Amino acid sequence: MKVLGYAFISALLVLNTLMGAAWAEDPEARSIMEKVDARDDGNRSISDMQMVLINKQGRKRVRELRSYGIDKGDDHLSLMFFLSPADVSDTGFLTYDYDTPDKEDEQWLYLPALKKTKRIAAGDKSGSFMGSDFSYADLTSRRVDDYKYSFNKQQREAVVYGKKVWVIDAIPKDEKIVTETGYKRAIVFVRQDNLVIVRAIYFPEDGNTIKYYDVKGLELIDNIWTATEIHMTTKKGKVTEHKTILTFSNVKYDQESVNEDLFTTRRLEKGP
Amino acid sequence: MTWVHNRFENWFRRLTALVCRRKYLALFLMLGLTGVMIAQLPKITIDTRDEGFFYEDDPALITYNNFRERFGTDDAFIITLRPQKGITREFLRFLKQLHTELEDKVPYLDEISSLVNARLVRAENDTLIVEGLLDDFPENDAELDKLMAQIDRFPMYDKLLISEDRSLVSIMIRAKAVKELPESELFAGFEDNQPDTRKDIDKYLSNSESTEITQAIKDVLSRYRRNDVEMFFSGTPAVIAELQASIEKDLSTLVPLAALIALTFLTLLFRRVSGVLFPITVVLLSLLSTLGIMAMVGLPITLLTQMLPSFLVIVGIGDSVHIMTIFYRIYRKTGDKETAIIDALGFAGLPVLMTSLTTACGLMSFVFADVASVAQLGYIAPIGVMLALVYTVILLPALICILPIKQGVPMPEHQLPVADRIFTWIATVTTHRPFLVSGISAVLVLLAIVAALPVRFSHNTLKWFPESSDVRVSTDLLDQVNGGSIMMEVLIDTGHDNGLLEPTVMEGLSEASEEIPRMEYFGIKTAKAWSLADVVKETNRALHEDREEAYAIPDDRQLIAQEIILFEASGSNDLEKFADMTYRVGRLSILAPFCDAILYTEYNAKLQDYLEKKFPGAKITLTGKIPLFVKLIRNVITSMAKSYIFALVVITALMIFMVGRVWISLMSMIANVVPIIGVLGIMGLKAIPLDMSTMLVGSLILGLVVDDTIHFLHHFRKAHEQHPDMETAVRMTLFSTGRAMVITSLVLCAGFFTYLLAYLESNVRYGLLTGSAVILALAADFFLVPAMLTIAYKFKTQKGDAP
Repeated sequence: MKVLGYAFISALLVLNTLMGAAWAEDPEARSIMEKVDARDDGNRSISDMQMVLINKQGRKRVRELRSYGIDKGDDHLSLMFFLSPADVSDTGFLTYDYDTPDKEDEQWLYLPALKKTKRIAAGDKSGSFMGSDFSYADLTSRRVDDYKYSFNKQQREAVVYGKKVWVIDAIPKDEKIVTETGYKRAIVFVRQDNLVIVRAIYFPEDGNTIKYYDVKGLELIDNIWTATEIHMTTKKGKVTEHKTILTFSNVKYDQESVNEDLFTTRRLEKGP
Repeated sequence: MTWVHNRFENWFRRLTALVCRRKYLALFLMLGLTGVMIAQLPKITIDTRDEGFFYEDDPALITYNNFRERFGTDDAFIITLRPQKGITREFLRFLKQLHTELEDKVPYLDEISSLVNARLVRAENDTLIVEGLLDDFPENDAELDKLMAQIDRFPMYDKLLISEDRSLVSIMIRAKAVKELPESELFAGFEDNQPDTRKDIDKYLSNSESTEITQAIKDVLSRYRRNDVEMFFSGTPAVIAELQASIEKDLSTLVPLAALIALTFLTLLFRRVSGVLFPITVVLLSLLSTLGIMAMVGLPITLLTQMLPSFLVIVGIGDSVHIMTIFYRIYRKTGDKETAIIDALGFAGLPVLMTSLTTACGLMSFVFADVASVAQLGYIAPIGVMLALVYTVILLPALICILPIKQGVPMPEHQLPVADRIFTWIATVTTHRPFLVSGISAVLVLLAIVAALPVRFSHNTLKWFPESSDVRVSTDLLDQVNGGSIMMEVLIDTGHDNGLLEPTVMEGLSEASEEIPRMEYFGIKTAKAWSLADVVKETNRALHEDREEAYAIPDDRQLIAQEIILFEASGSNDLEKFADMTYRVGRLSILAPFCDAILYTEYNAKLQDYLEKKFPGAKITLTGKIPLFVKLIRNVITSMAKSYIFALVVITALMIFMVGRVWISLMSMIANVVPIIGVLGIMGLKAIPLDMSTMLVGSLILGLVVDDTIHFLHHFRKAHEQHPDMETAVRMTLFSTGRAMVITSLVLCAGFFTYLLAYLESNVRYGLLTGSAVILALAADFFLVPAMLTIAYKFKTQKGDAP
């Protein structure tokens, strides 16, 4: 499973200083991000996922899903089935996430009530995933070369949940990446011991909101560092607009049953 | 009561003597106080938001704010384009460029919607596509025709983004006040549950933000102006910004005009530098101090408080005129400035104090108003009036004592100027024919009451602007072509999570969208209604190969839920506009015409009734701007009642105190109510409604018109003691105070009539009514009061009582 904790963003921020100086990359920061990209995040995974959407008034919507994932070269395939609520149980969602920028990702949704699979024209990845605070860009892999990296001017290092982290700014290299992902900048907090991104601050293109990504649960499962609880909070200024909590349980890697045949529309229609 | 009057007279004399002895200290203190207040002026703000009329705990405002918290703002800036040649590819290209530039340049932007990014849900073979309407720009006429056919298939666009006759295209801009977080505070955002301690005024667009956005939009539009595309600009935030600009415009003309009128009258009256300079200085400094206090306590300039500066200039002059008139008369005879001012304040101090108190009480009656901005006026306006008194009583004598003043020549006693001949005639007529005069007055009052019968309550912000104003023209156009330009919002709370997914509820929403625009009550017919049902129908159609018959609500709850998942999966955020997180509360938006809120009072009741029958068991809440305006009218009515009763009671009490005789005071109050009835008659004849700008006129006028009555009765009391004959007493009263009454009334009248030159219609009406009231009040004081006094004294004498 492509660990959601490995969510690194690309954003282009035109950093206008008073002198109009161009934003420069720090090779050390880049080197760290390359290592993050190269980190083993597991393959042929199965997990149960709970998605809790919380609005400003504290009202919650809870969905349970079963998720499968496999790497196919540089591409990643994922399959999810809704387990609850009952109205949407057995609804399936299949994604082909292609690494090459020229090839558009593919998505299908199976509706059990109609017994029909519909392909969804995904367009860019800035749209919200299933109404949550995560966008498709947050859930798919980012190409490390799409960004420039430097250490954050306020804090080069910090401590998050008792662990030392590097604090790195990531800026998309061109406008196309901003449009595709919906972000113009990100600040990522990378654990120095295991190269996991445990926190991040995302700056959407519209400039009205800020998103806070926070890995509250991180475990070593089958020797893979796995985020088991992730919070994504959308804020306007200091105020929380809404929040999504993803919780992963029963995470397993290298499962025999998870092979490329699983990630087909035919299998999608069979249910979990 | 004579001993009370004597005590006050002595007190004023002692105070003035003290000021004269310590003239430089008095000057220093007053200038120092003024300096402190003036320093606050840069903090002053303007607030023309509709929410400014409400207290924070008003249930209607709370409901509205809760709605906005949940679903975002319903306010939108609306740019309407009318291309001469209709919708062509060239026009669409223009639209796209304009849309993009607005997206880039408008600050605080939350959302911009037009045909460029209008949601298109369609099927292409086996693929569901959710995209913007112009994502694939039509490259030729055939593709343009296809696009127009697509638009026809989406009723959601009609009357919002494009008119039904395809002659108008709109761009809707929604903005939100977002305070950018400084970099230093970014990292703190990981802390959970930071409480939202912002006041409501900080959560939503402020006046200055609306103005900033309006200016940004206008700047962009000015660069895109072309002969073949007409542009119109409207929407509630645009109205707010326009209202602010209009208030600033009126303030910048009316206040100087008021000062000029005061200056002119003072020049004509006194014909000397001191006679002009001293009163103007006193009034202007007291005005600046009042504005400084407003700034200090955070009271904004609103539609109502904007009347304050001109009002204070005009009213404040009256105190100085009374005192200076007496001062000059004594000074011309004696040549001793200090004695003259001490005597002047001794004699005129009490009536000046009482007139200030009655004016202040008339204004203070607003404090009880249920309209927040009216209550604000009730706090600050009396302070302004009393400050003017303080400056008159302290700064004026100090200036007189310090600065040189020519003595002048005493007026010959034997001459009877024209004015005195008129006063003599009035005294004769009113005292010899009191029943005739009273009878004629009664008939006129009766006629005024009849004329006043059509007067109605109203709230229509647009009618405050001149007919030719951009925002009114634009809004009228949208109402005419699209049938609506303002939103009404309905919240349907099903009472349980996922309640909206029930086919019966979803079908109910769909039916309501069709039935509501067909309803017509009390002249109101809404343009369209839409909800989550439209999204479900669009998705259902796309799922069924775009067949038109599939543009319907499925009867399977699970299918509805899964179609919503499908829509979510497309990446669109539109669902959060239509339902809450748990699909318990749905939103039904209604596009309605911008007309008088009084008409909506009954319409809303009918709508509520209809919806409660359509969704049995659900809680139906009407909110948005229209229900807010309806509540405002109710608040206006109750405010008026409270204000008028308070003003009447308190001012009557003050009159009794001043005059010393209960029934003479009550009788004089009858004469003071007459101008108010006369004003209501004028309103009836000119079809002027009772609204925010006119509702206060009654209490305001009452506080003003009693001033002349107080002066008249004060002088009459003394004259009658010396001359028991009514005719002589009235004549001597008019000789001693008549000129000052005429002058102050003329100053007031002229000052209020300058509002006839105002840009805002609401100010024009205010000026017409208050100016007319002053004339009527003077007439009542000259004719009705002496007549009623004659009858009263005759009656008392016949009974054998001492009058």
